This record gives sequence, C-alpha cells and structure tokens, in this order.
Amino acid sequence: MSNPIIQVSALTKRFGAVTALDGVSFSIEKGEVFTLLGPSGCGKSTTLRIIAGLEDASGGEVKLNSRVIFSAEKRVNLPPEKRNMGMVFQSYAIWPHMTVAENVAYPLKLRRLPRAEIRARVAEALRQVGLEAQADRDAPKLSGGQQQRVALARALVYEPDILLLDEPLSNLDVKLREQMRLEIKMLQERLGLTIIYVTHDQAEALSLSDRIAVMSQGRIEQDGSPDELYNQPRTEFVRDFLGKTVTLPGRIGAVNGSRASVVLDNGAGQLAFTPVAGAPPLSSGSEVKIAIRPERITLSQVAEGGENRLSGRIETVLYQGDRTECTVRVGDDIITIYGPPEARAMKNQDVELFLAPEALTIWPS
Amino acid sequence: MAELALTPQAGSRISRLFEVRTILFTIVLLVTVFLVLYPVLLVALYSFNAGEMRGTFEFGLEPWRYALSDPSMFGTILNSLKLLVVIHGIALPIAVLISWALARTDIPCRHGLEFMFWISFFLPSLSVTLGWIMCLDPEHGLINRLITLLPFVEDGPFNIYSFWGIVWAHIAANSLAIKVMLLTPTFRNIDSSLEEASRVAGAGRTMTLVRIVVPAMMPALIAIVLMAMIRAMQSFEIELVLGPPFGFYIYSTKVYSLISQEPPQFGAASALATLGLAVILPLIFFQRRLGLRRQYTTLTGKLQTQPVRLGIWRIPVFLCVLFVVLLLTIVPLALVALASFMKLFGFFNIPDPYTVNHWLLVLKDSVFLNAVWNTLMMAGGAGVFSVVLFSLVAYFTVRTTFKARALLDFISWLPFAVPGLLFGVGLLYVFLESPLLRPLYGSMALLIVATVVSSMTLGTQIIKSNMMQIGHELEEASRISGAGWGHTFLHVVLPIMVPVLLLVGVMNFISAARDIASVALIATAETKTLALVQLDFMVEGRYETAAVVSLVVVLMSTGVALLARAFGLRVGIRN
Repeated sequence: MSNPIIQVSALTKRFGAVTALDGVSFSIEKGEVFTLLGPSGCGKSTTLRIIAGLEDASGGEVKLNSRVIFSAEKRVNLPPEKRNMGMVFQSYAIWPHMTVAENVAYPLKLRRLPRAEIRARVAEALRQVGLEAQADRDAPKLSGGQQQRVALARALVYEPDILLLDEPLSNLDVKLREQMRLEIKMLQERLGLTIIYVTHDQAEALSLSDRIAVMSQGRIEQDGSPDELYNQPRTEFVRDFLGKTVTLPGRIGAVNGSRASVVLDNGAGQLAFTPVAGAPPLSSGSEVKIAIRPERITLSQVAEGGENRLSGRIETVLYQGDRTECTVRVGDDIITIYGPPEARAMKNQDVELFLAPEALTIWPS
Repeated sequence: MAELALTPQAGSRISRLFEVRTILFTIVLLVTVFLVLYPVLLVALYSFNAGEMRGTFEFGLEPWRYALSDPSMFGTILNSLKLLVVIHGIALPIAVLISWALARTDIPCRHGLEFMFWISFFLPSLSVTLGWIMCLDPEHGLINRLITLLPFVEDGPFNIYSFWGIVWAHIAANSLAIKVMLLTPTFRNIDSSLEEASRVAGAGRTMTLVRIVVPAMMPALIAIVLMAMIRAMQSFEIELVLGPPFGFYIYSTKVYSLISQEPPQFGAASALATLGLAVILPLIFFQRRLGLRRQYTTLTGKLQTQPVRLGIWRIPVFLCVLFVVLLLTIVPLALVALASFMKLFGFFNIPDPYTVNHWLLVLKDSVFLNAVWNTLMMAGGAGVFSVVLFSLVAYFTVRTTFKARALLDFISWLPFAVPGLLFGVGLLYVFLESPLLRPLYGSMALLIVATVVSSMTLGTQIIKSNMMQIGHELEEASRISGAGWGHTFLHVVLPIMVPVLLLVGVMNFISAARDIASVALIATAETKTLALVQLDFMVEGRYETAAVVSLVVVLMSTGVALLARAFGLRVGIRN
C-alpha cells in the first residue's frame, strides 16, 4: 500500500434510523480495478456516489491522491466538478440535445482547451470505443450498447484520475454485456485506468476486478482478489453471493494436525478435509456444516470406493448443452452437482461422487 | 495531465455559482410567497374587517355575520354547487361516450374530430357564450326566430338568460371539450385485451363498455371529474354575462359585484370568498389523493390498439360526434362572425341588414387599439415570466433538498384551489394597501402577475413531470465532467426542457390573452385587455361590437395555439 489513489475511511451514512453505510473503509492503488459487489440496497452505489461527490456521508473521510476531498468531521466536501473523476452511469446519462461528438466534447470545453485540441481528443476517444463513424449523429438515436460507449468515451476523454462505473452493463442484453465486459477490460489494460466498479453481478465482478469488496447491509463483508473471495470466503454471505455451494451437515470426527474429518449426518460416510491455517481449533464431536462448490465434485459411474467418495443416485438431470446440472440423492440429502453432457442418460442410476479434500470448507452449524 | 486539470479561475467561478443556487432559491421562495400566499391570506384577514373604508382595519365579525345570514350571500355558493352538479352530470356521460368512440372505435376521421375538440377547448368561453346568445336570446336569438316562423308558435322556446342557458353555455364553452381531451388518451391507454376477454366471454359491445371499460377507468374518471369540478368553481365570466339579467349570482360573480359596487364591500366580499375556498379545499384534497393513485390503474406497458368495429353504426356514431363538435366550434363562431357584419343582430328583415361599420369603428377605436397592445404586452409578458418562474419553482421542488421546498410546492398548488377572481381581490388588497406598491396599481405588471399566478399550478406541474422524467444522472454526469450547478442548469437542464418550456409559454400566452376572472378587478381603464373590452360590450348589450372584438381574441389565442402546433409543439394532445 505505497501510495493509494483513493483512500476511503470509516464512511458512515444514516437516514434517520436506517444506517445505509456503516464504517466502510478501503484504498485503491493506481491502475487497479476495484469492485464493490453486493445485492441492491447494500450501500455500494451510495459509496461510489460519495466518492464522486454526488452525495455526502454522516461520517468518515475520502482522500484523493492524499488530499482530503470529503470529510464529515472537517466539513470538507469538494463539489463533484472539481474532483476530476470520470463516471459512467447505469442509464448512461447521454445528453439528448447534443450529438455524440458534442457529448464527448463537453468536459473538454469546460476545461477551456483550444478548439483544435478538443477536436483531436474527441476523435481519439471515439476511436478508442469504436464510434468514429457516429460522431455527428444525435445521441438518443444510438442503440444501448453505442450509448454506453459514448458514456465511456465522455468519461475518459479528459483523462480523469479515476473512472467510476455504476452498474454500467446492467441495462444491456446478455450477449452485449459479455462483449462490453471484454472491451472495458481491454481498454483498462491498454490505458492503465484506475477503476471503481459497482455491480450486483458476481460474474462481472470476478472477471473484471483486481480486487473485490463484497458489501452487505452497509458493511464490507470481505475484500480481496477474486480468487481469494471465491475459494476462501470468510462469511457465508460472501460464499453464497459469489456462486453456488453445496452444504452438508455433520460432526467433526478425528482431528489430526493438518488433516481432519467430518462424519455426515445423512449416514453416507465421512469426508476428510484440510483445516485452514489460523482458523479456530476444531473440537471433535462439534456440529458443523461442510461446504464445497459444485464444480469441485466429480461424478463417476464406477464405484471405486476410498477416501471422500460418497455413493448416491441421480434423481433429475437438467441438460444445459455444455454440461448438465444433476441432483443426486446422498443418504437423506439432495445435492446439486455439474456433470458432463453425457450424464443426460444417467437418470436414476447409482453413481459415486468425489469431493476433493482441499476444496472442502468448514462452517459453524 | 497538467493541462487538463481545471483552471483555478474556473473553480472559483463554479463555487460562486454554487452559492447562487441558494440565493436564487430564497428569491424564488420569497417572490412566490408574496405573490401567491400573501394575497390569499389577506383575503381571509379582510373578512374580519368591520371597517368600512379602505386602509382602516377594525376587527369584527360583521362581514361573516352578513355572509352567513343573508340568503343572497351564502345562497350564491349553493348556486355554484347546483350548477356544478348539473353541468357535470350532463357533460360527463356524453364525454365518456365521445371519447370512447374517438379512442376505441373505427369511426372515420377520428383524429380530425379529436382535433376539433381540442380547438373547442382553446376557444375563449366568452366568445362561445356570445355565439350562443346570438342563437338563444329570447327575442333576437336565431333559433328562437326560426321556430316562431312555424305556424301557431308565438314566442321562442329558448332563453339563454336562465339557469339552463348557463348550463348549456358551460357545456358548449369547455366543460365537454376538456373532458374529451383528458379522457380520450386515457381510453386509448386501456389494454384492449380487457375488452376482448369480455367479448370472448360472451358480452356484447355495449355490455363490455358498461361493465368492463368504464369500471376499469373509474379512478381516472373520478380524478377528471374532480378536476373539472374544481375548475367549475372558478367559473366566472359566463355567469357574469348571463346571470344578472335574471338576478342569478354564483359566489364569484357576487364577490365581483360586492367589490365593484359603490361603496365597495370588501369585508363581505372577503368573507364570501373565504367561504367559497372552504368548499373547494376538500375537492382539492380528494383530487390530489386520487391523482397520486391514478398512475397505477390504467397504464399498462403493452398496448393493444385494435379498434372496436362498429359495423352499420359506424356512420351514425360519426355523425353524432360531428354534430356535437360542430355545436361547440363552428356554430358559435359562425354566428359571432355573422353578427359582426350585421347592423342589428337578428334583424334580417330590415332593408340592407349587413354592414362593415362595426369593424371600421372598432378598428379605429383607440380603446380597442390600446386593448390590443395591452393584451399582447400582458400575454407576452405572462408567457415569458411564467416560463422563468415555473421552471425555477419546478426545479427547486423536484431537484433540490432545500427544506423549504415543500412550502414552494404547496404554493404552486394554491392557485389551482383559489379562483382567479379571488386572487384578483387579494392582489388588489396587496397593491392598494401598501404605500410602497400603490404606484404599481394600474400598471401592466400587476396584470402579468395575476395571469401568471392563475396558470401557475398547471404550468409548474407540466414542467415538473417532465423534469422528473429527465433523470438525475444527466445532471450528475455534467457535474462530474466538471460543470458547476449554474452551467449545468443552463447547458443541460434547460436545453433538454426547451420543448416543454415553449409549450408552457404558449399555453400561458393563450390563457392570459383570454383571461377575465383574474384581471377583472385589477385592470384599469388604461390597462383593459381585449377580453375585458369584449366583456364590457357584452354587458352593455352591444353584441355586434363585442362580436368584432371576440373574433380578434379568438384569432389571437387559437391562432397562437395552431401556430405552435404547426411548429410541432404538442399542445394538449399527447399520443
């Protein structure tokens, strides 16, 4: 954490009795893509808008390049127009009374650049987002994806210190959303942009971010790299928000240093796992839940027996083209796993599931 | 990077403008309080003035005692209510049928007919009334005279100077047209699958209209009726012309006569005015509550626009609607035009009955020429001033977090509840009682203020609803890009609003040009507008001269509406 570009500390916001933000802190390095991820109403957009200067907070501080731009205590609140940030809104906020080029030129005119330079910069920004040909069209006549690109060009054209993206893809259809996700990533890498990205879509967050902060009820539940959050979630909320999870109730059996086991309540057997270093010690016999991501469960038709293998019977199969989603009855539990496309034919067959020990995590019951 | 950072000058300019917003808000709030709230409060206050003379205030309940005990006083409120019930009881069912036919059936020329109703709405009600006086005057009325040509008929059966005459004038003037204008889009917005489901279930066309369509529109219907009733409580000029000949007063004409008599009875007028307000306020309350709920009931996202096929009824229904709309527009206008070229209206038997003298006299008359100038000044001033004021009021109520904006919102609704004549009374008090402002009495500015205030609610609401559709993000995007509040308001908010602002400006020009109620009491001989000159001629019984002036008013107000429409402004009709 050498010289963060943005430093947010202890942001708090209350509306009467409701606490919208409760001590949110993080910092962002130059060139980083930082994502605020969470369900609607968790405070992620509010946090972004406070950074932008569009809202204020009841407590806390925001620093940009070590300079205080917001502080509830010191009553500092730099207006948004003086923060030199770029922002893309969920609705794109393209001004309907201007052409594409005029939209993009607006921030440059405010900065009193010479006309020739404005023209050159607008052309370059539109080229970056692939809209050179549309420069003189009326902005409202563009499609959603094109408006989004105009918004991006307008936010980038004055080389802001930081780019704020507020659910920029949520109004696009699935195909376009995936394409734009890729384009934003490429643009970010090419220009070395620093981005704060707000979304409720975990796939978007995982694929775009260098770092993610998962928020819930005005707090950051956990922040870290996408890989860290996905594989080592610290709370159930983070675990379940970032993907599907299979959980099975059981009791701790033997504990032996770096190896431990759980005896499943459903009578299907026991599972060995590796306790996380530094986690509170496990006591034998205590009730727990063991969790695993469905894609870490392997399906086999041949009963081989052995460690971490459970036998079950496939009850339903949902064919999805590149794979199948199968529900498997294991003892008294029904768990959902991903199988190969061939599993279509395996309805009502007995199978064996292998749950990789390193993929298992232990949660309090 | 360096050359792209905001220059310090730009920064300080922006922060000054940021302060400007607060100052501007305070100014707008003070102006509206002074021009809208204060006059109304003064009216209520003066109802406790037992002093006879202006300028002296002696507290006393005398005016109230008088207003509540004399039947010729509180009876006028009953008259208002009686008229209101009868007019809307007749106009609403007809309006429902006509709007349904316009919106949901396959009758020919639907859009043309709807446009005619729109024209009817823009015709000044005084001109329409004049046209119907020409038809239904007990002695000279054209229809009465035609009927007396029949054998065995001595007297014409109709008399416009009667309760039913007033009812008819209201329906013809705009009670019907405004309902058709509001209901037709509402009918159009009903999902026709509701109707189709009813037809499939075995109900006929009429049954479906009665059992499905009308109940589905009930909330919208009630809201429209309430709004029409509130507007009706504001009516003034029709009763002022048609009522006194048979001794009939409603409360606004009574207030007017109390103030214009010598010596003026300000106390009694104020008490009666306050009483009238007390009748209107519950209506406003219901209307606002329903208005809030209304948006959820009729609008569905996906609209089916398959028209109902009327079969053999197609042409008869078309002819009925055409007949009605002609009665509202062409018939009165044609008669007014005819009257303006007759020596004495109704006397076709005298040798050489036609003349252009009325036109020549009026066009040379300095009173008339002065009134034309006054009307243009007043309506133009009202158009410009209203757009400036209403857009700021709308912006501050919709887009800012100032605590006092609730008060601003309340004030913007007040003129809807308070009849224009009462505002006139209030403004009269404000400008006569304050030595500082007395020099302004008798100036054009006073008339502009009165007409702007009277159209404040509608104008502000139109701008507000459009501003709400714009979305905060357009403004926020501008702020983030580096623009301050003032720059954003001028370069983003206003340009996007231009069509709406023009619309509001044109509407206020028109309503000011034909306004009578708000200016009747505050105009002086020098500041009389065309509509007031026309009223004078009508009250004096100089119908031919009134007809000339009337045509000029129609030309001025409806002409501007048509011109605006030709330039693509959607005045009134929204598709």
